[in-house]
Amino acid sequence: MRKIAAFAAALLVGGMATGSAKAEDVKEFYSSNTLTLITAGGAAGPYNILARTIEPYLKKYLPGNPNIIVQAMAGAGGLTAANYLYAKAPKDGSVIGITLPTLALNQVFKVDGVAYDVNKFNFLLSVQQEPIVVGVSAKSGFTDWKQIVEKKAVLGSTGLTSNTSIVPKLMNKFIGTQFGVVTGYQGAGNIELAVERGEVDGMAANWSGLKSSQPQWLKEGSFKVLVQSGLLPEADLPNVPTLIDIAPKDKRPVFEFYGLSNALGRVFVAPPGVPEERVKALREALLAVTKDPEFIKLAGERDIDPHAVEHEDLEKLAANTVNYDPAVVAIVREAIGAE
Amino acid sequence: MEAADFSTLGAAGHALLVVFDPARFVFLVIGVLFGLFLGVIPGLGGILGLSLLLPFTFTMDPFAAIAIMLGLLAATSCSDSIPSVLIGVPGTVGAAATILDGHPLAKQGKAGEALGASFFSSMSGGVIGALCLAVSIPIMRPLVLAVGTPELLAICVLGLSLVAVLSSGMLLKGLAAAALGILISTIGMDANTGVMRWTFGNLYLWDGIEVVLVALGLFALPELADLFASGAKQIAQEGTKATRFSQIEGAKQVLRNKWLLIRSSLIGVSLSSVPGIGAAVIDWIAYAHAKRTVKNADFGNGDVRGIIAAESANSAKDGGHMVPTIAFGVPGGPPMALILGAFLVHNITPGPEMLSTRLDITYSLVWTIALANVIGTALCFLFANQFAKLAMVRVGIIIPLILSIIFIGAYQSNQEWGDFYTLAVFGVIGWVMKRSGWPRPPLILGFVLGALIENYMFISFERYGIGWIFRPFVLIVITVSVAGILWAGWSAIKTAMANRSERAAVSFSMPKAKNLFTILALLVFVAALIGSTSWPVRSQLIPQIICWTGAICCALQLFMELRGGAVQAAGNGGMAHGGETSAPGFCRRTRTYVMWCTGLLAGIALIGLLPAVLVFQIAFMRLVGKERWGLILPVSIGYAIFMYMLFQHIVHVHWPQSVIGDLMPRLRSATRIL
Repeated sequence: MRKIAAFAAALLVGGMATGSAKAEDVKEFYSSNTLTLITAGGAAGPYNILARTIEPYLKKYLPGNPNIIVQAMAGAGGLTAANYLYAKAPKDGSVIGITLPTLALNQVFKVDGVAYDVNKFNFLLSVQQEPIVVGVSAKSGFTDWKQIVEKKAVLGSTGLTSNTSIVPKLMNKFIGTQFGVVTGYQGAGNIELAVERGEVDGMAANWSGLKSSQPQWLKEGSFKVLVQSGLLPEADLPNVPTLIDIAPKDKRPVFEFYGLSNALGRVFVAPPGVPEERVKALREALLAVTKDPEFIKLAGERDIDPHAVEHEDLEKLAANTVNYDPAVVAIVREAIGAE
Repeated sequence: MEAADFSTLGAAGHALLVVFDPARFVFLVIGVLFGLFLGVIPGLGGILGLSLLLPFTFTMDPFAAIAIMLGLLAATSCSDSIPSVLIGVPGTVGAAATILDGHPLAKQGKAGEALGASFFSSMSGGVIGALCLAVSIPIMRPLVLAVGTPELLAICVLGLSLVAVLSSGMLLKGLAAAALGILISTIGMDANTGVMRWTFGNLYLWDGIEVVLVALGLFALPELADLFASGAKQIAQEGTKATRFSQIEGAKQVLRNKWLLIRSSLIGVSLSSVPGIGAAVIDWIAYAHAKRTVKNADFGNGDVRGIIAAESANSAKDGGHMVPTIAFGVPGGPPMALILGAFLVHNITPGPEMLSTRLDITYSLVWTIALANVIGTALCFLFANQFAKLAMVRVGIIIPLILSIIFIGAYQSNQEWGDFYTLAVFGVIGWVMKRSGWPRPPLILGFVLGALIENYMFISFERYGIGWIFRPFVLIVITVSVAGILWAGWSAIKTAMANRSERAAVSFSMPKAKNLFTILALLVFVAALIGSTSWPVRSQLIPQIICWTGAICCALQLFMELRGGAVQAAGNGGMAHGGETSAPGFCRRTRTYVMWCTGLLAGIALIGLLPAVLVFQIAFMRLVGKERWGLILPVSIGYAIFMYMLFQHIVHVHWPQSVIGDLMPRLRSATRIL
């Protein structure tokens, strides 16, 4: 009945009205509207699984308990989803999304097709930082990154613009390692397979992805993690140096910038212009989800790190990335060979 | 899970009991029913079904989740031959080769035989695939590890070399079409260099073109165009039936060709275990194999052996796709990414675990694939007679219904406007190719295998230098491939020489409409050649080689066509020729068809996809079909409601944004479909 009434009202008002939500109660809005959660990446991708895992809890904690629809929006390395959320999605709080950690980096690098200003998004929360680790198989004979300064190690990679290639290239240029990078593998799974069959010595990998896909490598010790890319060491990699640790002092900003650019994690955003009180409600609900013991348990089973980064920190991270010393940005860009 | 005996037989038996547990078996049956439904509808298929099911399986137990998902996937390849045979439009990308011989049989009134053969081949292929999967469990990991990138490259090259067989005696056209396919596969971001190839600043093109759109455009739209233009009242003559008797006749034919069935199934299993080789090419490769090995064949005109090869390989692929998926967590084909998603959610880790302590899971996969094929086929047999009536529905009704679902289905690829444009572009390409006697399968083969070959080749060179060529397996396979192409070339030259001696005077003619595609393709290759020179070597190498090859083939072809009486213009029917151009009013009706399609597109832009489809169907049935309102309204409105329920409330489609929705944002947020 409510739908029909809304439909009739819409016909009457036509294009004239633009929603002013100030007067409406948040609870009333979400009890009469569906919340759409857009995820960058495909229907079976980790972002979609994250969204599906969060969905029932978000419904529970958001005032009005709206129905939530998860829509996968793959394409253009996350840009399709980010651009949609920025410009086209309704700005009433009925659509939010999960975007990629490269949200800010794409803007700094002035990647073609970026049609948003990252600072104007309403950051809600982020989970799952995605540090990159570089590691080699035990049979490659390498046990320490220093050996690779002396002797070449071959890493598999999906392509020049991916982290599987960026990290070893930055290391070669600024730390003096001799990684050979073989690009062209389709997806992390195929690189892992190449490592296993000895076609390559190792790989730069997304740490959470690797833990999920090759637990036995880590258990048996057939894969040795040499370095990690985060600003701080991961809790489960206390003895593995970070790139910042091993870089010569004058090159550290390069790796700080790189670590910073990835630190957004899987970030929930609402489009710019969503009424303040709805943004606030969304933030509080998402934060409550990440503290729900039941959710934390489920997340563990699905290889999701539920540790949340809140919006103030995200805003700072994004701003710091965007405003980073242009000289350093230019050096990194050049080293990566980005267009 | 309960503690089980993990000896192989114990695990297999345990898994069978688990799958047959009524609480799970019911999910298997639901999956099969849903899969059959999606398989029949052109444009919809396993991937859509699996992405739909995935969230629902989160709360199921892992065996039930596997039963419903794999049941769905396996069943799509049973029913996808139904539209291929009856309408000439592939149900999924894997059923395109079935059209070649299945559809002519239907037109001859032998739909029952064609369907019977295809169902039975499909079931046998699926069961053989499951069996191979079961047998390979103990050796799966060493097997996959033994195959390095150079070997994968060699397999792809071998597949591509079959273009020579699929060219229907028109080698130059076949090679040029394959080159075009490879060129199209390079569209998008080159992950190796970060260069955008042929994207023209368009985000939609970044990730390349979806194979579903290529297949629907190339095969489905032209078939409907010609059906419309032929002026026929219905597809098959009155009285076409798929009685049990005629279906059993078809099944018997399969048994008579059991070796072909087994060979094709094995081709399906082994190719599909190579990551990246999927449904879109496997049926063609098996078809080419049949064409090369079967004697006294009449492929393309309703030879049942063409159906057997294509269908058995297409069904056997599910078993093969599972191999790298289970053993290493590398998706063997696009749908497997979704199966891996389900594994992740249920805390099942592919790899050694699935081959030792979780053998129960692995065997439940095997049983599910086998059972789904058997159940799916049985249902198809039972209901084939009802489906066969499709071929007798009046053209004025069937065309708008199928055309609408193709547009809606195509939109599921990326849920962007670009999907419609891509579909339309490939529709035009497919139609012109069909009209000017160009074989279309080589284009698909080039499109799918070209991208793999480019990647595998660079990895092989970077890792092994030139040495990879001398690995024994690679050496043998590449030699066989090159020999196949050379042999086909030599045969073509011999034929040409023989015909030449019969002709006294050589005269050149001016280019005509039938030379159109040759000229266009030549221009595309030259333009691409020039356009790619500014890229880094690695990005331009393959496109340049391909453009040179394509341009030379096109130039030679054009030379032969213009010289008059071109030998190569002959060639058999099937995918190359469309038939009845001579029907009165053919051109006029083709123009009308194009206008209807354009009108549908304009309607989508103006009033949104679902409303446009409704208006389109009503208008088409009334104006073209001259149908009664009493029929039009229930059919079109029922269709629209069904699509609304399915896509709005189950699939949760992100509908294309229309002008009316932009003008009236409140209307958009109230209806959510504009």
